[in-house]
Amino acid sequence: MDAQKKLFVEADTAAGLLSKKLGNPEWLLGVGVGAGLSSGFYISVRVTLDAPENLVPASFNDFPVEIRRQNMAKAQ
Amino acid sequence: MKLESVINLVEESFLDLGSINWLSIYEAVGAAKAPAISYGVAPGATPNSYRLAIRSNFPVWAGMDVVAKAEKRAKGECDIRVTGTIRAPRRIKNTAQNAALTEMKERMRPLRAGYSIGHHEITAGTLGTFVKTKKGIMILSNNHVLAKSNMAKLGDAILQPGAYDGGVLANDSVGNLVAFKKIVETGNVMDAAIASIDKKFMPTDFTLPGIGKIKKGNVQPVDILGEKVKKVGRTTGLKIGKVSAINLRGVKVSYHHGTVCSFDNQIEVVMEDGSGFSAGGDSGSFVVSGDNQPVGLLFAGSDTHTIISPIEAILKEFGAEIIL
Repeated sequence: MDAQKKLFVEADTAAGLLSKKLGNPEWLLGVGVGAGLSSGFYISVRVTLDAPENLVPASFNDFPVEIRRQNMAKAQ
Repeated sequence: MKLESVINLVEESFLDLGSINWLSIYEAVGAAKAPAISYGVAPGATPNSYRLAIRSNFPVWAGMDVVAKAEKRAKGECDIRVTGTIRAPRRIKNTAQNAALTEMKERMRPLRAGYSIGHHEITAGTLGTFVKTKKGIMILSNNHVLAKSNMAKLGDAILQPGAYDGGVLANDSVGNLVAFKKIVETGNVMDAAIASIDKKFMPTDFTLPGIGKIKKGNVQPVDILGEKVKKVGRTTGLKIGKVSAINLRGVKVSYHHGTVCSFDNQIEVVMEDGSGFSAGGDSGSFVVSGDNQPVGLLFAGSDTHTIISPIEAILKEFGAEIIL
């Protein structure tokens, strides 16, 4: 496994742990992995537009956490 | 020309803009505002034919290199106009896409991917693509498009176009629901279903309109993270977006009957200009990578983002393979 894939697996594992830690509150819309410009990975957290502040850490298991506020997806 | 040919010409011609000596144009036209040239799709001389549109905000001259090249590529099938406003390059795609918009809602015989379809009691979604199973060639789309969000019965009629686009049971039944993956409250990994095809409407062209031939491949989500993906759908036509997140867990999706269901291992796509990659009616669209390898099935979204289910699990569920 090359270094990039290994780093991704680590980020994905961290995303899974963060997802479990956060549970399933109404304001949480998803937890996954995103990629930065320098090909580093971060944890992507999607929350509702009205989600309270400071419920998600800025980093988790050494990976930065990107929080995006958005509307809940609808079946199209 | 065919729409696909013009779209390819738009992309090729756009690359020429990088080699223009803009200084000489400034000197020649003395433009008070920045000179600009754009390319798009214009209607052709006959129905369902198209020409390369060349638009500039200054009078182009005979033999001007960048215009001559485009004209040569299009073998003279061009519509050249001076306009007040030039669309940004991003809009060129949308110009091409708009030409396809009404077309995707029409009746299409034989069947073709990207067009309007749906269970006879829903509005309309998109025919994603065609798959080969033990039972023959099938239509692949969403559960909520072909199986009315778990509420349909196997064997129910499928209309093309969907009822919202004028499809009626008497004339537009093109196949029957064969199987669907039930959507439950949590832990879903797909919103998918397959339907059989009446022999009379069996497809002969398996390309995606505006995109082309699907290539064989096994794209893993990590391979396309941050990369461009494409889809063609019933409502917004051809769109090129970017994968912004993968392996999303706990993605909540609101269904038409008010239920919220959550999905795991999903792919999120956004547009770089912040607009939507999809809209209502695009559900079921087949999403491919920049080089046309299968990525997944579009099924949900908002104004800013779209959710895609990876194709691998879907094919496994139905024992199917994509027809290339």
